[in-house]
Amino acid sequence: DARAQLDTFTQGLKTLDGGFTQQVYDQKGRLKESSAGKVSMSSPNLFRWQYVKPYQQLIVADGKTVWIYEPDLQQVSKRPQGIEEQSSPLAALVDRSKLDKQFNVADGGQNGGLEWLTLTPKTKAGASFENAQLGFNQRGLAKVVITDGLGQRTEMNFGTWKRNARLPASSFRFSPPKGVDVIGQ
Amino acid sequence: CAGQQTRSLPAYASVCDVAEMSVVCSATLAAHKASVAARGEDVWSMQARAAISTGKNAGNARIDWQQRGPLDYSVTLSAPITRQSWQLDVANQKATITGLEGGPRSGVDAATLLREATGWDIPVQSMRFWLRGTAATHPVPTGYVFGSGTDLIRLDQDGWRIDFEQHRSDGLPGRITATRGDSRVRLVIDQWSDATGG
Repeated sequence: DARAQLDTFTQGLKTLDGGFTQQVYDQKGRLKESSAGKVSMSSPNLFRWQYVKPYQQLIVADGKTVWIYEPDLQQVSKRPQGIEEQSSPLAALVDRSKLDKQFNVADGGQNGGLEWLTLTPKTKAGASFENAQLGFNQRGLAKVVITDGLGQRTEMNFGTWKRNARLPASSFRFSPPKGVDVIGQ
Repeated sequence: CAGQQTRSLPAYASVCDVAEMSVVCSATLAAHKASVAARGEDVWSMQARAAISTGKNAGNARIDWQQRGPLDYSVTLSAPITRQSWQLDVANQKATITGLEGGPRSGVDAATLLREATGWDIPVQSMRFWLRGTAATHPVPTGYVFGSGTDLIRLDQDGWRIDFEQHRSDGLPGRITATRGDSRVRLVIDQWSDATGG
């Protein structure tokens, strides 16, 4: 079942690397945004989101600071890496103890050819979303659906993951390009 | 960088000093206001990407703005990754924020409610006009700079300096940067529509 698949998926998982497409639906179920990109993560708290389409947006968490660079805005925002990132269900995949500590995990049945688990944050404080559903197929985690506080739904569809590949350290470091404003502390 | 980062103005910019407006400036301002009024400013919607910083915290968000009449509007902000989202609805003189911890909160003044609920000191009533590339109704601006034609490329109002760039033919801006002290909002507008999403 899905719980067993979560166990095998996170068992001994140190790094994760893969491509995704993302759709965001508003409270009335209307498609608001769709984008595509790549994500890589390294245990326990390093990750890199690279949105490529329709716009470039790079988000790097280097363990201390979260950097967000948007070329169209010609600006880099930086802030201390706080609990928000840790409470993202995906970030918790490479740190299973954190996943179990932060979320209640319930069986979500079968749907759309996937077996589902529903994660709900244990503490409301600092939780930025209502719940997250993880959908598994035989290749592993195939889909994540996050419902936020407004009832908007963010669906992420993953291709085949590269598990425990050697990722260059530079992928979890960020230095602002020349001539771009850096904002925040 | 606490100082106002002043973008260098293009050569064709005409700087208007509000204290003693030249004949040309007065005419350009009147023409600007006429072209804005001709667009119909009470029902529109917009999607933008924004970087907001207030000295203490900085963050990026996607903004959806739905203007449903002269005074009624709703603004949705969604942050990437964490999917932290909240929505401010203003209708018949009442403002409500939903999506934040602790449930919906209401108040009479949208900007005060926004500051109390999110810590962000954003002049949301004025943003409604600045997003459209024009001045808010009050307080009286202290400076206008016009670019080619009737496009406003810089506005000084209520202690904020707002730079407008990448104007469309109908005068709507493509990029906006508003700064005051160490508060700063920069937006790239991806989509305008002159109807609300419903």
